[in-house]
Amino acid sequence: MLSYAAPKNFYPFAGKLIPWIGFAAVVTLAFGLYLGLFVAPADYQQGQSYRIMFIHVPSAWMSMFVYVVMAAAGAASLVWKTKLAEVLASACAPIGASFTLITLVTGSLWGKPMWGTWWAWDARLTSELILLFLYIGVMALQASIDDPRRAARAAAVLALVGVVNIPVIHFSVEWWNTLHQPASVSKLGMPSIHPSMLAPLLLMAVGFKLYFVAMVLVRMRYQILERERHTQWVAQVVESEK
Amino acid sequence: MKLRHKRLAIVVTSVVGLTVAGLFVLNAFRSNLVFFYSPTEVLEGKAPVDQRLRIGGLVVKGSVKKDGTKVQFVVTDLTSKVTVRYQGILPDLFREGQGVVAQGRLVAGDEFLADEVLAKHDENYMPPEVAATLGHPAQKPGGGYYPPSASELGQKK
Amino acid sequence: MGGYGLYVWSAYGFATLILVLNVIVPLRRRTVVMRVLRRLSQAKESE
Repeated sequence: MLSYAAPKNFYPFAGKLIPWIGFAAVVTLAFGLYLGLFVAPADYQQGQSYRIMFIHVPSAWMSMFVYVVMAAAGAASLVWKTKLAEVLASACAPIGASFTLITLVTGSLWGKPMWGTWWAWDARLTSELILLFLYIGVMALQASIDDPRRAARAAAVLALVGVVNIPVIHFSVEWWNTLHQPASVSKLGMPSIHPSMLAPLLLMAVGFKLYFVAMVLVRMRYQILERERHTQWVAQVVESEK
Repeated sequence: MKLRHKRLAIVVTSVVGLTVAGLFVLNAFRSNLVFFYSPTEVLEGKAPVDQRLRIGGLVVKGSVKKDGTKVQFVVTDLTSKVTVRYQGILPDLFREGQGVVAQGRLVAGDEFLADEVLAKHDENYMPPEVAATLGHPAQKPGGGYYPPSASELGQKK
Repeated sequence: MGGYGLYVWSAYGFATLILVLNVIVPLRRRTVVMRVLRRLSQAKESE
């Protein structure tokens, strides 16, 4: 049986997937943006400003989702010592950090006109900021250690320790008094958001997920080439892609 | 700069930077775990005295009095009431019946002098027409304003 | 955008910038890696 976990088989397989997933991401995001910016009505309280939600909320979900993927890959690399898991964890970090940054900046741009402040040290905002620091810490560890296996191990340990922050982010709005409002969509039953606004929100969320998969595969592919550069199959790939 | 030196510089700066940032953030986090107190907590003396604090609740309908940039309104958690006085610009979402968080200090027994007023909003999003068919947002069933959501009153579930 | 244009467009602009950078950077990095690997294989051949 062909094992897709072997870098040699993963490389061409991922290469075939990327254009399709990338195309699906572009289409989904374009449709989501169209609905979110031109079709969805203004909010009864927040007017047009609530449209920031269509990027803010999906990227906040992604910031946590990517972290969980990164930590799980880190755990897998610690347990089974699979190279592919190490590469996946390291490819996740910059993308997750980007989504976290987008979440913080768009949240700030939404907070200023609505709440009256760019930033508040409430539990939700602070724990999301800590998430950004965790990503930066993981990236710094990966960049600073020469041996890729040792770098992956150190980064995986930090990523796993940081996992405690994920439930803190999610439940912060329920556990403590926060300026940030609680979740609209995660409630069981009816989400407290009108269907005309929910549609673009979910489309953007799916689009971001597809974008993440495509970009993580691109990053994984060149990292695999780098790490396997002394092998015969990489020499063949280099030869064939001239 | 040699590669090894560059790498060492990255490690040292990131470790120092992250530690300082982490300590700073954790400090802010600790003193803000309770981001605001409800009027009841303030009146029962559960909030710290003689220091700046935040008070949160709903703006009582009809209680807003404006005089130029001076504003006065009553904040309630449906149990107790505190009068807030403030001078400055109010955020766009500041409404009667809406959630609000004011930062400042208690001057008299139930009077609060605020130097910053932030608006809270709830987790409901809908077009104005839908809000209208549900009645005024203030009477919207199943969360929203009256009855207000727990988060607006600073109550934990 | 009902007076909120600056906030809304800045948010969308910033997100676009970061997401596009996240496409360009790895693709360029890939080109660099391929160039280095090609040099490596040429060096081996000429040995």
